[in-house]
Amino acid sequence: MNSSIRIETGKINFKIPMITGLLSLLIVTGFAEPAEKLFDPLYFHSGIQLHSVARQSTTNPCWNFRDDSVSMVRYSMQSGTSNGDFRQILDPGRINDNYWTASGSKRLGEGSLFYGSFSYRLQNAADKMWSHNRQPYSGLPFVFADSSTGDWKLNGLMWNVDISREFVRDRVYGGISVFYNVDEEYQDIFPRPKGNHRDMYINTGIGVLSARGSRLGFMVKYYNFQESLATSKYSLDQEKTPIFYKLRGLDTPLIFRGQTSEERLYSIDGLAVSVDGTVRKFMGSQIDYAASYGTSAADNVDGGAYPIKQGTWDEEYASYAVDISLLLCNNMGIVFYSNGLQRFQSATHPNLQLEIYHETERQLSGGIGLNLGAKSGWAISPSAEMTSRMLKREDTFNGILDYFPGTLWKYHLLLDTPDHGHVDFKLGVGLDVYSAGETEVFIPNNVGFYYRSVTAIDELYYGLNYMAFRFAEVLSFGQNRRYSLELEYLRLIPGDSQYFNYTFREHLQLNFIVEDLLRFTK
Amino acid sequence: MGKWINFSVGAMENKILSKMYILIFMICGLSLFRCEETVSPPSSMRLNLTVTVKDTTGFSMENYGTELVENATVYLNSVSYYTNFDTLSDSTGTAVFFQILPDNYNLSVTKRMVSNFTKVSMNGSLVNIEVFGEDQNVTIYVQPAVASQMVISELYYNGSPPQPPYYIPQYFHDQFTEIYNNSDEIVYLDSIIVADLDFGHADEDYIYAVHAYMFPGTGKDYPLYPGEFVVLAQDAIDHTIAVPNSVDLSGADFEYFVGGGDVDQPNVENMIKIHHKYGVDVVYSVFSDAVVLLKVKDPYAYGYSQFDLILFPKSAVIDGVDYRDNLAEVEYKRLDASIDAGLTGGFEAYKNKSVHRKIDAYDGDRVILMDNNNSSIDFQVLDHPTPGYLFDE
Repeated sequence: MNSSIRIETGKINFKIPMITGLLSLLIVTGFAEPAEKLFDPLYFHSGIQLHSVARQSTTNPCWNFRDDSVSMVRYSMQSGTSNGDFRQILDPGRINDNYWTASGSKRLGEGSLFYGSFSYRLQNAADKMWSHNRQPYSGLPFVFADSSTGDWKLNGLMWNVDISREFVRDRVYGGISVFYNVDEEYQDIFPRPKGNHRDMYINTGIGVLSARGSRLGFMVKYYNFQESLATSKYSLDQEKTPIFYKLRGLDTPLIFRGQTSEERLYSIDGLAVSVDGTVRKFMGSQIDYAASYGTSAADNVDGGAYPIKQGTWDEEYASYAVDISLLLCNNMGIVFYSNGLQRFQSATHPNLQLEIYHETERQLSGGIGLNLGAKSGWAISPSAEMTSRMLKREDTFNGILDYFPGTLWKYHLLLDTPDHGHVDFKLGVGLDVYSAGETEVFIPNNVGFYYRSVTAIDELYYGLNYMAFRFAEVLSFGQNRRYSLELEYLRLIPGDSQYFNYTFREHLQLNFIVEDLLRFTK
Repeated sequence: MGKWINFSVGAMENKILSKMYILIFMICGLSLFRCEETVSPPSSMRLNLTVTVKDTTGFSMENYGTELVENATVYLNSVSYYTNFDTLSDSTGTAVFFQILPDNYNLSVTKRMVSNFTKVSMNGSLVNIEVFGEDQNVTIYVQPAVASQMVISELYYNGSPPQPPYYIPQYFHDQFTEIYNNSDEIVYLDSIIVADLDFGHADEDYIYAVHAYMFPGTGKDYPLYPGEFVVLAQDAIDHTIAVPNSVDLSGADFEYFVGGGDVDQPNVENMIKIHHKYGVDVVYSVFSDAVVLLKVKDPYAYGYSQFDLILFPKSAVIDGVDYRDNLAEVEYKRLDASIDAGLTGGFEAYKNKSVHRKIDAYDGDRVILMDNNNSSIDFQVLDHPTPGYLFDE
């Protein structure tokens, strides 16, 4: 009884941090480290995206001692704003996410390095429709919602501590990184739902370094993300009763009327292993690589003191990134790079114990970049990248299948100006062009209101061509005390679409960093 | 911008580099493989439910020569998903619901017809039908019921929320029952009993009433003309004085009077107490209850239950309304399908809401209210009660 609906254009929303496309190219020498291109479960499930810190959650802490030759104290303010109606329907219409961070690193004796950061987060989200989940599109199909649309405000604190140690001089390194976040958010209008989150991960890594400078590292990561959603009877809102929706897929949520309070707890447990390294002087080139494999599972429970299971979820992912850098001559280099990701997710019905949902996400990228430098200090780096993408989600309870393939071309141009004294300025522009492939959507004859209101709109969003324009700059100056102002602007413009006509989505990211550097003596 | 430095490499280095470039392009070429796959229609847990409508009372056999009921409207509602479907039964008495989700469902059936110049409705219901695993077949049995001349047109049981200036919590004294003459003949209220029922008595013949009060009169003292309302108040006073958004029942036609400290409006006729199990007044539950109109020769003839509930025969019921705050809880209905196949309400207590029969048709100026003996279909929810008048006046 299912019918096939073909949608002519397609866009897949992938939960990679789009905004770091150019900035990462600018602020990290050459291109982003392979490890930073790996799938990051912290960002994916929590939305936490700290750019203005020296450490990322996917990097192996064992190399910190080796790679950091300076002790530093850093203060940063990061502000990112997104707005526009070219979005998934449950995403906020406007979101402003701010982090204030103090971080620093210091040598502890001869062979250890300590790094720590502490951040305060303030987020304001406007026009968030129905969903109480902080990340309704992370892949868990168990969305908890009510029929209101309102503004949300979040306050949170997070800290990160890394310790790395040199066990054998210039040979063996080890490290551990611990991250912890707590935050609370609430909606400003009836029924005033609240969300409390507690996120943590522990990375432990070990690495070996060869005499030629090649390195090989292994890392094990454990993570746990908890989200507790609660709505309780609010005495001032008389004569109002919320309508709760509990979704388990792409349509037909359980509906609860006449119920004034509810609680839900998500708890995601995950384990990942990764390998990273560098091969130097391989046929005249340097190869940087990283790969990871992880699994996670989640329980979703309602009811507070009298828990009622709402379903379980499992995930398996693998990602890799490799850069091959060649120095062709003194001031000319070339980089070939490739990265990929594959994620499988499935959800199980709490009573039937049958799989009711699964999702497959896959992307494969390859690119080439040039570094062209001049004696005067100017450098220009054009790059081009092609990504093949696919998203498939299947709701085997309702009988709905979405399939969205597509190809993304990225063209970037970076300009590095000569250093004047201690002033450094980089500029970048980029163009992304996404072309959807042959989209397939299968739906049953009798879809419900949730499909018509949410899923169908998201299918239009995924199945649409788009273009993105990027602009980024990094201005830094100072010697022992370094000031940096980083800016990235991104504007997404959809292709022809009746629903998304005259819409766009733009993002502005501003980082202001003050860093005191003290060189170590090795 | 300075000039670029030209570079040159030796022949050997050229060969190594060219081989490497080929290797590299091959590796990068892997990334140009598209991440596509073939897809096929998804599996689904949706099922088909086949409903057979049957009348084993003999009525359909007598009138149509078959027990299978054709052209009955079959209503299906999902307990978990609040989805509702309806379809007609065919000539074999069969109605099929295609591709419904696994869940527990409630079924009700209604067919309206005219037999011997009398309006008759065939009603039946089934609750908590489990539809899981594979296609299901169920049979639902219906029985005929004559459309009532006298009906409960509105039932206001909900009570009022706290409001200024007094912020009285849980105000339920403004409850009332509105009765309407739905026929084109004069009917008489004399000796009609209004009763509210207890839950949980699996008795085919009797209903169990908590309270039962009778209209006074000797036979034709209280006529009710076609299209006329009467209002039976718990307390026939102006409740808007205490709760501004409540109702003024000082003009009510009849009043429950229990005695003792109960309000007794001197200008309003009191109902005759037949049975009063508990309470300082006749209070309908603000959450769930069932209220019936019935007529018997001797209200005390059928005795009492061991829990001090008065019994009346089901056959004596003229009309009934079954309501709950949670419409999914059909298994807790107090009236069986022969009296009321459905459930109305579905809102939180103390919200000033009321349930009122829908308008079915007009006979000139006279309104004919819907009476399928199915509260799910016959009633609608009003945001404010309308004692003594229609909601659209």
